[in-house]
Amino acid sequence: MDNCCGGGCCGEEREESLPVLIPIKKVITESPRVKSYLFDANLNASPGQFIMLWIPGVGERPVAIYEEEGSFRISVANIGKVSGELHKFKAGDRVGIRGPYGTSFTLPRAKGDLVMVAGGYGIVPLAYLAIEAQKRGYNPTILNGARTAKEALYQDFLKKKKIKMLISTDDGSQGKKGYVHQLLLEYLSKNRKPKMLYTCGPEIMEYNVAKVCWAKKIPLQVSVERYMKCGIGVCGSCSVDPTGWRMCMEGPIVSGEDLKKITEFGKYHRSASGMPHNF
Amino acid sequence: MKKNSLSVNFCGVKFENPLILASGFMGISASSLSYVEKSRAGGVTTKSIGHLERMGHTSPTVLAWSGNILNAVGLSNPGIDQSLPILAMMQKKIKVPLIISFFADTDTNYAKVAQKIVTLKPKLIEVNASCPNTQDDLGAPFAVDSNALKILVRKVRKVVPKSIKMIVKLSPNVPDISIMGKIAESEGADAICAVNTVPGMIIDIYARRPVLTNKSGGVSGKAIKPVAVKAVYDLYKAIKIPIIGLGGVETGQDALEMIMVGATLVGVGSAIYSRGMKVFKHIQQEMTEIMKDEGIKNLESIKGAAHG
Ligand SMILES: Cc1cc2nc3c(=O)[nH]c(=O)nc-3n(C[C@H](O)[C@H](O)[C@H](O)COP(=O)(O)OP(=O)(O)OC[C@H]3O[C@@H](n4cnc5c(N)ncnc54)[C@H](O)[C@@H]3O)c2cc1C
Ligand SMILES: Cc1cc2nc3c(=O)[nH]c(=O)nc-3n(C[C@H](O)[C@H](O)[C@H](O)COP(=O)(O)O)c2cc1C
Ligand code: FES
Repeated sequence: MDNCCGGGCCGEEREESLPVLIPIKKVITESPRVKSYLFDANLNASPGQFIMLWIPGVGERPVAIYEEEGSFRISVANIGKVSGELHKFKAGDRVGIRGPYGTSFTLPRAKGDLVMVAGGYGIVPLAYLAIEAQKRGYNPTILNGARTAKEALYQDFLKKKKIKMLISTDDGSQGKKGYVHQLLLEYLSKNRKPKMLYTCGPEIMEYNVAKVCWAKKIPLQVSVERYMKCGIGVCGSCSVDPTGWRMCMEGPIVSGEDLKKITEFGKYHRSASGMPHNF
Repeated sequence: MKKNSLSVNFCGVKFENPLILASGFMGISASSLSYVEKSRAGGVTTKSIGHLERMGHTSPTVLAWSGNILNAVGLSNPGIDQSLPILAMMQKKIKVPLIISFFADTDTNYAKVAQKIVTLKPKLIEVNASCPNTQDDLGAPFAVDSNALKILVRKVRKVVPKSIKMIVKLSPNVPDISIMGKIAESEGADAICAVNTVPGMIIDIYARRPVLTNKSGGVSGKAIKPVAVKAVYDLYKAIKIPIIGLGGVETGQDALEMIMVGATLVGVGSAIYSRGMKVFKHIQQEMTEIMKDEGIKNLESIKGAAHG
């Protein structure tokens, strides 16, 4: 990581990157809190990268992408101003997209078992990764954690794509009752050590998963979300302590080894003003 | 060729190279500044710190367009009280010269913020009197009104001891920037930083509205370089105190241009977007190469050379 400036460093100059308005092709209600939006366009993004989604006159926020030949989709939880406004949007309405930005998940050289541990909308980049990995001859399994059965996203979608998925719910309404890192421990006790583990979801969940991997010496890659204003590496709002890495450039996907150097991980993050707040 | 041909003395402070990080880029924490320091910046400026916590404008706040950057971040910062420990941490962690930038809504509050910063005994502070993106709640920048600027600099100087060097950051959005420079100088500024951004707007024709939620913002990067060069040229003719020249510096050639019109230090901001974090290293390499070819031994020898 220290050798990379994350963009523009290899003589590659960066040009214009303004939002482009594109129409929503289809809206899918995934759960009481989450809707997916499909677009007839390709971004040529890699799994783990994100876009900045703009609703004109309302605001702009970072979201992860799932992409296939000829289309891409996003899944957004209704938690506030911009996401709430997006949830009112229908097919044909236009939103602005800029990106893709950031680092992506990478596959290990040796083919074999891969584990993806997802929480909430963290399933989006991991589903994309699992499908790409399966195409390339890897054996992915998704461990999908949710509060309750209705919130365990992408179940039918991934079943159709023949991706193996195990579920845990906090309330026990589906799969194993408890947290997804507990499901991971159970999985690891019964299966071979995976070649690589990937995780994306709420940070405390990711932190618990990372601790399991560090203890068991399983290589991992983690998506680290921070407050992102510019998404293009200039404002510093997504910089982490103590390395200063920008999660929109040197992240959001970070290796387990680099993650150990980000001492704020699992502890605190910064708000729009730059003020640190504990999780 | 001596190895230290890029080093300069600015207000009695030694800089290993003249390239400093402009305020507002990466300057939110000791960690983010130290990341820039490792990329070989000669000095770094903090994000401007204000009287109270500010979240800044609603995104989109930073846009990369073909002329480089348009921003309306809106001076987001944790407020001076919360920032004091962060600034102290920066002083501890950063080895290159650190410039603490600050702003406020009124001249009295500028002085209050300055008084708090003074307790940290910094070497260099920068009075940001020129943000163009906060008109709606902070009012017009002080640096576009000669009378307001005069009172501001006077009030801040009163609470900042002479041992702390005070830089005043000016706006290019005035008929004659040299008048503003002279006012700041006569009221006790130790140096001038020029320029801040130029007001601008980008419209999305399909949405039929400005892309920035704040509608207007400040243009920076290569689009404003000739504006910045002319501003520094005019200032150098008018004042004796040293100048930090910035606005659109991307290459070694750009940096030398700034020095030849009279800058002692050269700020770099938007080029972090166009050329990545290694821009500081690249510009230094390019400067050294040109200086070798042109037989330039040190930067002092070419400062203001364009004035003939
Ligand atoms: C790399 C990345 C990928 C993401 N992918 C997805 C995704 O696929 N689906 C999804 O639903 N959400 C995703 N998010 C989170 C998403 O950006 C926030 O949920 C969204 O910004 C909420 O906006 P709001 O206006 O609805 O909420 P607000 O009312 O603005 O705020 C609610 C909370 O959202 C978070 N938030 C707000 N603005 C930002 C911002 N600019 N950057 C980061 N966090 C912010 C803050 O924690 C805030 O407290 C991702 C975030 C990052 C950084
Ligand atoms: C995203 C962004 C944030 C900025 N924030 C500040 C700030 O907080 N204080 C300040 O004095 N100038 C700020 N500026 C202005 C820059 O410091 C600088 O004067 C201007 O960008 C011109 O230099 P450049 O062309 O090298 O970027 C900001 C500029 C940008 C693009
Ligand atoms: S959001 Fe990463 S640097 Fe601005």
